[in-house]
Amino acid sequence: MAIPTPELIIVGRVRKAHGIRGDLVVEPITDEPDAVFAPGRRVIAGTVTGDPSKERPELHIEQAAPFKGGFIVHFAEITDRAVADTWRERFLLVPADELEPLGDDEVYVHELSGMRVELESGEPVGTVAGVYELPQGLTLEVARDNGSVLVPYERIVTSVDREQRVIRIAPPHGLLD
Amino acid sequence: MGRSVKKGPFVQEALSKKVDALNAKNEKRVIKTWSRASTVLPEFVGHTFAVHNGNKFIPVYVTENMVGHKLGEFAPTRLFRGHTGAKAADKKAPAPAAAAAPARGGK
Repeated sequence: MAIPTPELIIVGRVRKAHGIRGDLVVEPITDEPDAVFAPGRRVIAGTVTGDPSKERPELHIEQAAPFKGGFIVHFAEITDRAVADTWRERFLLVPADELEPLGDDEVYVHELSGMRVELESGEPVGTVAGVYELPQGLTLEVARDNGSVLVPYERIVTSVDREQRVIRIAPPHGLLD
Repeated sequence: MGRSVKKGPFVQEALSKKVDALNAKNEKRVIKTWSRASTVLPEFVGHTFAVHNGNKFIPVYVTENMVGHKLGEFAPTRLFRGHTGAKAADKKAPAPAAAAAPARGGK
């Protein structure tokens, strides 16, 4: 059975405070950072572990400027450095229904963990134990009875079945040895 | 100071021989190597190498724009699983669908 999409999805993480007006340096964890961190949008504050806070406070984006691969964001609710410092390392979330919906031919990267891996013939290979973003692309760590093997996602994965939670691969000769 | 041009790029001899043998047979199979210092040559393009990172073998499919770099550059010694762990983050990957099964029966 497919994993249901959670109500809130992580879109970024606060790195540190910036300046004395309460600005925050935010590292985006989303495929659409410019849309998510646009002035006028809102995010929901999470904890340092990535869970939503109990009170689910909303933060409204007033200004956002690109900064070293991320953004310097000014939220309406944070107006001085002392308060901004308390937000360090906290995750920012957005309701799933406010994000670009998942396409028919897409899968969330976090859903790949735990999926069964099979050859195209149906022969079992193992289970996805981890997902890495390497310079050459997404790579799956497949746990097997005799250790683990890394499998590139591109070119090797032939199909992903979200309902059955099965990934089918066509590895080149020698990859699983 | 760079390496002398007279010597040519460094490639482990055994690795070079394995690639040449596969190219001669027009065969593709994963080549395991510990030689992270070997330079990617144009002959390597299209082959997949399993480059050791000190712990695991990282699969590296060689493309044209990797020529001239070292194999070790594509096998990081520290693998980072990301900040979010298993938490749901807005990161997507293409999910190719299984090919439709061929119709059975009839002509």
